[in-house]
Amino acid sequence: MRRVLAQLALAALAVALPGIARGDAGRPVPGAVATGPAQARPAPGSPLLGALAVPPGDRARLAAAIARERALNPAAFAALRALERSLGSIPAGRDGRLDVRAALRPLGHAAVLPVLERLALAGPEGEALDDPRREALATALLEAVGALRDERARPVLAAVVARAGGRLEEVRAAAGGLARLGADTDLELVARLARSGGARGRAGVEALGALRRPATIRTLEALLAEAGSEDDARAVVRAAGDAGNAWAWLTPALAGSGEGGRTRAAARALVERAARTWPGLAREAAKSARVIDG
Amino acid sequence: MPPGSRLTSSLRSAVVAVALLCAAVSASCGEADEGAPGDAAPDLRADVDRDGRVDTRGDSDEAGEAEWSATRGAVVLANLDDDERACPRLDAAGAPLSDLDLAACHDAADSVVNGPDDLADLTAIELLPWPGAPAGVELSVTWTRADVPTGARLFLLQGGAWTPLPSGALVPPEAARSGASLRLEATEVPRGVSGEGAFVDVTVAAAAGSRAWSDTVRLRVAPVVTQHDRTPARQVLSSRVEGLAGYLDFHDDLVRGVAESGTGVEVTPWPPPALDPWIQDLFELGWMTRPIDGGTHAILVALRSANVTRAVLPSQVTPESPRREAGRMVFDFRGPDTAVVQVFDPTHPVALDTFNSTGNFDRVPPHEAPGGSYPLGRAVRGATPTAYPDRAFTALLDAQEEAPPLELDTSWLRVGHVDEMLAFVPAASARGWAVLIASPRRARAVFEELAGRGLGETPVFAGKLAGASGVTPSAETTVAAVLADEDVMAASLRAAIELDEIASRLTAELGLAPSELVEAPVLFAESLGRAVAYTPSLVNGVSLPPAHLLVPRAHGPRVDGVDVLEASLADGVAALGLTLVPVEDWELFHVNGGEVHCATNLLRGPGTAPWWGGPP
Repeated sequence: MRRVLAQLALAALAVALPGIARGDAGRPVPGAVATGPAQARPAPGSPLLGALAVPPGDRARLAAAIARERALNPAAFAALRALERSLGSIPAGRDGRLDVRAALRPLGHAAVLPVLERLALAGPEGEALDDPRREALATALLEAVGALRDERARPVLAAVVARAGGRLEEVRAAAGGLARLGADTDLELVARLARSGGARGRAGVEALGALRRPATIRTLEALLAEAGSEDDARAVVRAAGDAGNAWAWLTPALAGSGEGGRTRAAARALVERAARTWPGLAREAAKSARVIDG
Repeated sequence: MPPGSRLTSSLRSAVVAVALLCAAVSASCGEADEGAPGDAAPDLRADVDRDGRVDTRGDSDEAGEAEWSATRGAVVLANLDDDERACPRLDAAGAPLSDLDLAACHDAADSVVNGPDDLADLTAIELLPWPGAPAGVELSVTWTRADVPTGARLFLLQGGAWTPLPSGALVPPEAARSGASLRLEATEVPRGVSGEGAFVDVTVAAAAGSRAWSDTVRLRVAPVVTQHDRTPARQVLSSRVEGLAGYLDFHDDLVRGVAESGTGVEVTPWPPPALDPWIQDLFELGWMTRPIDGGTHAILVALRSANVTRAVLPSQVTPESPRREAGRMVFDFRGPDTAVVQVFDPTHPVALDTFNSTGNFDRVPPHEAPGGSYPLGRAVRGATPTAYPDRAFTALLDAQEEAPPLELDTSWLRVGHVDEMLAFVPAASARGWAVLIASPRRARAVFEELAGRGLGETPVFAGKLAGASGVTPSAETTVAAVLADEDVMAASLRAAIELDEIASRLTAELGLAPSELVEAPVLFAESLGRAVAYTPSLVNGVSLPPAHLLVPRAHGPRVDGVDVLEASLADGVAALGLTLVPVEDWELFHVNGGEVHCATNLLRGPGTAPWWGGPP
């Protein structure tokens, strides 16, 4: 008779399930949002990143460009507003974080000015987002605008990278975007972040991997020489692998630069040197070497 | 009046001391060695030969009763179900109970046998009649459990009722001559060291004058054996998130796919809070079993994930914060022969919380490998020294296992779960299963082959939106654009290198032949320095033994009406005897970092091979 108990267990599950629909499944856990220190919520209409030190000239040019774009292409601004309004009905990502980067990506360059406005200049009137959504949206917008490699984003990305403090994920996303722009000034700013030490510094080092130029490898060589810990050196080795990434160098934009062979050879030499200097990094170095070799 | 209370505590202590001494040197303490059972000494009996009966007339349960091996030894279950459905969800004022209060309620939480179903969860131990018991003999019963010193409870049948018998208590004098019925429950699942098992030693001791006797039976606490994908499915739980875009497509495809499998499995839509639809991540299911007359008695166990709440910012989570709210739903499962176990370390770093999701836990099906034999399979999880799940939870899992888990590096993934990169699937082969592994190399080769044939402008993600909100633009791109995307290509190669290492490790550890590692084409994107599936992760599906595999629709390039990514995988698994069934999950799950597996949880088993060894 007891052999049927497994079936009874199934029956228990089946009986329980309809009850879930009727029961208190969706009730909030008491205290779930009451823990931790209270935080001041930004006023409606304020930008996601709060007060950001964008140079006045850049800010004025950005505002003017946004005004022109709004007149020409109001749909892009409306799309961003609609996306923001829908955040309350989007499930959190599987890692618990809201991720709207994929949603913004196909907007392409039409999204750049609406996104920059929302990040740095102004937000919609009405009820402000709660902290998790505001922070997740800021990070996602920084990632999205960074992935577009649009030079109009440079002042905002640079301001995020240069400002003291700020959330690490925002800094990481902005540094990645700045690195993708790839100019000398971008390299200089991200390298400065890389030298700031700690988690912010390592975020800067890793961002350099997306700036695929010979000059980046020279910067990484200097950073390797300055590395004060194995963790710092590991970030350099990883960035060197990314900078020399074989598949990235096969894409038309990079392949046409003619710098692939030189960059990847230098990157490979760097990771080999790092492995000799830091024996604990042998596995990371081997991995980066394989990324460079493809 | 509790048993034994008629004697002074000093006498009780003396009897217990004799008992323990005798337990250590049982051969010299008057073990029954002649005549009918129980004639010459007190004699405890349990189901040592695992035939589901306690032999009180012969000796079939006598040999080796104080030890435990693959062939002999009694079993006891942790009685953590709720046979009378007496555990509330709300307090007296109607407010939801705390996580700790919810978990504290089960049948072993009180010292009452709650009816015949509860009694059936207990293991019988019989104290045989001792006709030759000397006048004035005092009998005590003691139990010990090393991994959880308080983790058992003994009941004595007195006057037709089961009454708790504290360890070391004296049994009524008449029991010495007439015998007594005892029942044992464990109050905790095994919590010790992997490979050592958890045992309850029950000893009866007798003393009369200068003479002393004892007899010990050893019972092993049944481990919770988590499921593996070779075991036939019984029920598919799926996220019921009706208000979200794409739900009906997902649900319809899932139901159709399950029906197509011909397994007769039921699909049960299950409504978690709408903003946390990742059912796979909320709990892991396993079984505790013990032999009974004619079969096995099983208790289904839902191991609640150790995730913290998602209602606040990570920086605001405190040790007192509630656990992941959606996971509270496991307590609705609790009922007859269905239990919940909840273990977590409140100091586990919140930044590592994603590794706690049970989608990061899987089980390799039973196998022989170069490093050993794994008749029940082997636990596998994503963990490194710096990116690891809750250590209290993993210690709980490890305590159920005979072998150490296989720990793989998932730290390079943004979500960080093993089910994003591999799956163990049934196979019509000698081994009976194979591994699906995500392969950016395979995906790139498929795309390059199309481009080489002049099909670079073939749409990819045709007709799909980029986000879940319904207000987002089209995700459509082309084969050539994907190959030209520096970020996707860079992230995919980085993922390929990580997956190469994983494949090498699996091959070595599991003794896989190349044909047993099937590449599923998947491209990756990068987010905040970690990888996330760019094309739907075709390993993140549901296997329905013996022959069906439900995977997310790839929305890859179509040539002659055929999705080339799905076709690539279909070719790969056809050799395993598997039929591929695509299930739509794009808007609902893929764009949020998950797929079909993440949004489902399967009830399988308990399987036919007993965990205690011996033939199925």
